[in-house]
Amino acid sequence: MTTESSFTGQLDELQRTIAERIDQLVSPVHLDPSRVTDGLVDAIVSMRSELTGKRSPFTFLKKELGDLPQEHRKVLGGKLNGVKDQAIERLDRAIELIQANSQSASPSGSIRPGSGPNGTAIDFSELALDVGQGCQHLISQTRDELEDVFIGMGYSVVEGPEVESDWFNFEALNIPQDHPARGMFDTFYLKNPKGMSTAGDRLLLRTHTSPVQIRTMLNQRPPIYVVAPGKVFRRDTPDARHLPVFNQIEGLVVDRSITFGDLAGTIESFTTRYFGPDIHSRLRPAFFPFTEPSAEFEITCTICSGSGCRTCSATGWIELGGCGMVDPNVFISVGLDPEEWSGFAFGFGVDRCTQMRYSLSDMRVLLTNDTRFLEQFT
Amino acid sequence: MKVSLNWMREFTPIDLSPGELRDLLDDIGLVVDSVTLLGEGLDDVVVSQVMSIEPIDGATKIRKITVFDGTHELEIVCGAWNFQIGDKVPLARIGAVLPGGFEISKRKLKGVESYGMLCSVGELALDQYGYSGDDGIMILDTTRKEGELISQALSIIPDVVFDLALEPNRPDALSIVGVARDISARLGTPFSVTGNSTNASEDLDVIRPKGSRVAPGSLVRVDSNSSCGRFGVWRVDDVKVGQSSRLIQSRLLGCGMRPINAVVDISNYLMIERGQPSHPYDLNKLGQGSLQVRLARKGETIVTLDGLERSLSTQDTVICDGDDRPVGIAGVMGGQNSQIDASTHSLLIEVANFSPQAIGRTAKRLGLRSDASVRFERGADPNAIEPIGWRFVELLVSNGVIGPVNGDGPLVTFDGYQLDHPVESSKVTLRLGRYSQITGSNIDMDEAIGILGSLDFRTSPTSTGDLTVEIPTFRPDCDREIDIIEELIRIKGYSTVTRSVPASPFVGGLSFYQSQRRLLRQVMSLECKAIEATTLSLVERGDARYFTQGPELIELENPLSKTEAHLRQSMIPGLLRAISYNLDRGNSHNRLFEIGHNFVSADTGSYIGEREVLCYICDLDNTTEPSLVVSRVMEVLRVLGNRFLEGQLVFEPTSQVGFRPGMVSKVVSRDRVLGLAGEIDPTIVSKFGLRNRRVGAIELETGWSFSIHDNVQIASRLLRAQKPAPSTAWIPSSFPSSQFDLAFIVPREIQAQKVSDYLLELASKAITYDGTYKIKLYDAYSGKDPSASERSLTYSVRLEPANSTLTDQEISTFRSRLIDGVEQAGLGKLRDFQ
Repeated sequence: MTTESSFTGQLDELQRTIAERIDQLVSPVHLDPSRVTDGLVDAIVSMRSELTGKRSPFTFLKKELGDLPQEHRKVLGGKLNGVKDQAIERLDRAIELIQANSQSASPSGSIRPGSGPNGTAIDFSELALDVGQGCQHLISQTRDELEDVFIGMGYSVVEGPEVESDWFNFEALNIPQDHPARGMFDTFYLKNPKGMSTAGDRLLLRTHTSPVQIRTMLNQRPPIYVVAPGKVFRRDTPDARHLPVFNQIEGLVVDRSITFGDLAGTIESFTTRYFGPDIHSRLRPAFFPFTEPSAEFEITCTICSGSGCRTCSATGWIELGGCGMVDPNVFISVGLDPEEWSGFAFGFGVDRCTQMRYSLSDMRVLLTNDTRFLEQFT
Repeated sequence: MKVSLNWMREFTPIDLSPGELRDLLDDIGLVVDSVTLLGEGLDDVVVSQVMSIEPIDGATKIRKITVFDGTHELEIVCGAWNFQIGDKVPLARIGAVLPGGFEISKRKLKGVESYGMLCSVGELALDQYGYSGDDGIMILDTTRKEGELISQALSIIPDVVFDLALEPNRPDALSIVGVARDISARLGTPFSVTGNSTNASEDLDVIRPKGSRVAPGSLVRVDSNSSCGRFGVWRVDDVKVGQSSRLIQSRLLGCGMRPINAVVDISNYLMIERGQPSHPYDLNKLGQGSLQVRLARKGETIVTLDGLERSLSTQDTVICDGDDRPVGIAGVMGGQNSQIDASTHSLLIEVANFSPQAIGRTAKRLGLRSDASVRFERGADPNAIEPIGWRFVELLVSNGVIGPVNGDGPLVTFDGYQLDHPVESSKVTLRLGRYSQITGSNIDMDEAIGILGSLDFRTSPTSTGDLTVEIPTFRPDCDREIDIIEELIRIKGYSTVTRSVPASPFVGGLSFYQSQRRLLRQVMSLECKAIEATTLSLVERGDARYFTQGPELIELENPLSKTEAHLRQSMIPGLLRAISYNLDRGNSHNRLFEIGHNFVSADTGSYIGEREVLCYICDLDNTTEPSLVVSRVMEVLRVLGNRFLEGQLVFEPTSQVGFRPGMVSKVVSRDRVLGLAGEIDPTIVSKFGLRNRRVGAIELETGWSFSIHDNVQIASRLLRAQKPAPSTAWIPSSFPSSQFDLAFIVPREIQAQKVSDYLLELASKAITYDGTYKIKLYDAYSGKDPSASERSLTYSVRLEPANSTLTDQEISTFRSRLIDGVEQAGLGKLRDFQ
């Protein structure tokens, strides 16, 4: 004998099982309607007819309604219809969603795997579709790799703002106004709106990551072992080898009795760790206002392994970056005593490393964000 | 800076191959850009005489020439027509390898064998030695003997020219003597700016001619406000301006300068050799026959030697004549109105020194970097003026511009400003121990004295075992102990240091923020299948303003182009451009993300700071249902919420310029607005060249920010982590759970989240059993009419008793309390199925 509570129990049970089945069926639709298989569409359609047909569980339950007292029939009948309508609605909605997407779907959006009711085998390779992988930018990947090399050597990673003041970018780094070294940096300056006085300390887009050295030394007492990666800006018209915005990584070590020999050894250690055991480094005198002695560092040409080729102008070496012992004036500008502390700094282009590693003939491709280019490096 | 090997050899012996010298120069920091071999490829080129000229059957452009090379008569096929029988011409014999590597072999043209080649000036690269005429075979002087080597006949001395890329701190290396001095220091060979045939003594008493007359204040007056520190002027009369000697001409050519006339060439020659610019004026073109040095006046102009009119500023120093008419921009370039020409009869020669900063500013402002300005800007030797001036006079004599100045008449008159006060050399104490501290290697006293001496730094030991080092005035780059240490190690060689690796006392690593940011990139690429892009931080104002109506953008003072003149406040415009670029090329991947800095400005457009932001953008065909683009965006937000924000994401309806009205929401986590998500306004999408597309976008702060106001950067824990695991693990009960759905009709203005939150609150009060429950929204449906004022929200409720089976009654009571609660709070009505 059907009672009100047993009917309600049956109805709840039915609602739950149907809801679960529908959940399973439609969840891929909500996830990505453009990639629904025809098999799934078929399954949704067949479930819909199962629920509306003569053998539908609702039809069965409806019959039991007749056993119930008149006063409950209306309420419970309404409830039954509600559950049914809701289920049908959900299925209809899923179908609508699929139909709406069928136009925008990729050609691979509709597949019919070789499965059939009679249990034919599925072609797995047919399902191995290219669904459009994402990937990280080549430069980010290089930056991570470079950071990791230095992390392995006991360095932390520090960062700083891209808009800097003249003091951080130049003055504190021993590059006073009108110094000929300013000519080494083509600088973008920010326009100062009226009424804002920034005389003597103009804002600019940092031309190198070296201001992060200054920020680090102002924030933390030595010993300091850090690398500072980041975007830098030069007022350069882009060409095959130069971009107006590019990435540098800068290293700074400040400790007691750090020597030029430590610098040379660190550069060599980095070179063999990052480029491999056959790639070595050498230092050559150069000039940077913030280091003294200063050096350019060169590494074995990665193209010809040092035997001489066009890339390295037959020298077997290619220039990678600049380095040197922190100039005493830089220590003074951050309040450290150059007699007590010594240190070295080095810096080079992340983009340049990438260019060498992947033989990038034209750096400008990095500005386009062409996905055909970026997708190679998943 | 191009330097000639032969020229340097006048100052120091150099016994190295060009390759070895290149390596040496690189190793002492005078980096070689390129090496040019002059006069090479002339080994098998000889003087020959044309004996006969005959036509060749069937050929109109070439002829058969018979030449005599001193021993044989040879038949040569030649296509040039500019010579006659009897002319002497250069013959490249078979086997000769001409400059540039062209090898001469026996050839057959129109059936005629050719036993060599007659050559032009260009083919022999003799233009580098001042020969010209490339419209045919080079015609030689008839006195040359057949068979004589061409190099001998033309007195060609092979040379090697090194093109150096010099650092801005080494003005002394902008000269032959400077480079030669550095080479001698490395090689340990003697160096002298004097003792050889073409270079006379620097001793003023020797080079100053006996007949000179000093006339203080008569030839030049210098305003002390100007940038001029020292000024020397020489008056020379009875000049004959002809060509300079072949030696001077060929050296100038080798170093990349065109010979003009003897006087100008001598000035250039001295500048290259010594690094000191000088300037000759035609005396008769100067008012009063004298000079004055002063600051330029507002609106003053001058036509410089390159023929361009330059407007001067009141910061520029000008050289004027006695009538106050500008005749040159001090230290930068002379004026056209006083230049030397063939009719010049008397000269005034200026040798001066100016403030490096002032010359740098003027040259930069005028966009006029001359050989002179580069040297002054970097710092010329203030004590070189007199020696260079007198040497100028000496070269005028040796080049026949003036007769010998031997005391017969007052041919040379000299005047000077501040020349009686030479600049004192500065002195620095060098501690040898400090050398070891800095370099990690040792140097002994004798070695240090030797190296410094070879660089013309005088030394004297102190009583404490250190060295007092006197720095020559031509080395403005050196004024501290550290500079001396650099000189020592530079000359010893950087490769001589012992390499070591300092042991960091730290375990290296990323900060929490940095490692979360790396994870964010991984999640965006692997989980959300987006490609990372990097767009320019500089944007076009129009593009940017589609997305901000608030504070003015921060503008650059000197942008490269209008399209890159402002700092971005959002990455959306840049990424829209990237999407557009890719669609134009038929690239189908349509999900991009970027992590980078956006810049924040005050209302006035002044810079406040910057913050790191994640931006995601996806595009779809616009035939898709509008909600689809939002559900794409939601998928990403769900992932981010779960991965980084402990699932704590709240959405607040908002409106934002740039987004489609009603299709944008604030994204909030733990009461902090992280950013926005939604669909970009289709009318704006089309402005970026995206036709018929729907674009979804998310832009969220990641937690790093910098404020210029207090100069502080903050890396917050905004990107936290996944929801932390419970401290005590929950084990699902063995008793059956109960589950039921609740569908409510909820007015559109009430957020689903609010209903969810309220249901949870009701459940916390309704619970009567020991255990847990879960409530989640699993469907939202608006029916066929998306503009309807209400929609249906379906929640699934799951009750998990810990140690009992729930009775129907318990379940039903729980259910009713949820329904009643929602209805009484006016949040919605249970869906009526009748």
